[in-house]
Amino acid sequence: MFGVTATSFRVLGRQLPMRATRVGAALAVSPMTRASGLSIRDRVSMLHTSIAKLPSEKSAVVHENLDTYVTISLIPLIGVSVFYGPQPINDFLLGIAFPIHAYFGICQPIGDYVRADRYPKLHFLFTWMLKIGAALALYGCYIINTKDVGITAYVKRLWNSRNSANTQ
Amino acid sequence: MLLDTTRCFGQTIGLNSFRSVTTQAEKAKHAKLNRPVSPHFGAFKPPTSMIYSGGNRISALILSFTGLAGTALLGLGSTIGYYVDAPTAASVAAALPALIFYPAKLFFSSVFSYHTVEGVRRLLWRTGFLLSPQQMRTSGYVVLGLVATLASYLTFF
Repeated sequence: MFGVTATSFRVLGRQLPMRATRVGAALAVSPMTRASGLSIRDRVSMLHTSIAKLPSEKSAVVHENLDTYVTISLIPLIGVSVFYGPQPINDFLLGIAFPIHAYFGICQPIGDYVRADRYPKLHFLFTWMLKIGAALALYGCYIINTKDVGITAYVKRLWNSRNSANTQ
Repeated sequence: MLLDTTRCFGQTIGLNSFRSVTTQAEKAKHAKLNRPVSPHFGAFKPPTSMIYSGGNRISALILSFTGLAGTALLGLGSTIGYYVDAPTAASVAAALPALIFYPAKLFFSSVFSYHTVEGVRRLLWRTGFLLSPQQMRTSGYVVLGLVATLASYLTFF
């Protein structure tokens, strides 16, 4: 006899406790009744425990552009390292670009698998582990480049350590 | 029908009580009990680009963890005094048994070259090239060939 309309919600709402909200009034009858007057976010939140929030557009575009530029800059750096060998300026730039590229690269799986509104503590932990790790990696690359032989030479020595013609 | 009672966990209660007795999380858990799992891996052939993409991400994670952890530990160690310099590291690597050293070298060479070549292909995608299905298929084979070449070059030379 009573249709599923806003008027029937108001009738039923009087039977609910005084603090019942509009959402509560709408759901007093059945979870699947049409909740007119609610935003799409409220309607979806009736069914899901959490909703992903979109990042603000501008910061996401800046983030992605920076990621692209660092990745493009890494191609000649890696090319020189692999095909030419140790070179001081190349190693210095590699020591800057590689941790930044790794930082951007790990941000994506974190955003995909460990979103902040679904796993807040894990998200916090991984994000800060990443930031501290990337900062330490920047420092470590600087140390290798200045106090040691350089990144490319370090890896080359590890790689060729079993060659008979290896000269230290 | 709208004002019917319902059964909640074996007990007949009013619908208003259902709302106040159970939390959203309990409702979600209850709803999942009889829900069928939709078939994916058994029913659908995985698209090639998904495998390349998964490989790219896995290789990215392997390289990042190795590289970042390695350099971060070296940086931390240098502040404490436990820095491992190049000759020491090289002698440790040379002392590893051959059964561990060469497979590890092959593994890291292939992971590195896969990520590099696939990364170049993704950059090309971002600038608009190689986007048609035929080009994707061809570039996939080119990627595999280049990865094999680069990995063998890095491992054996």
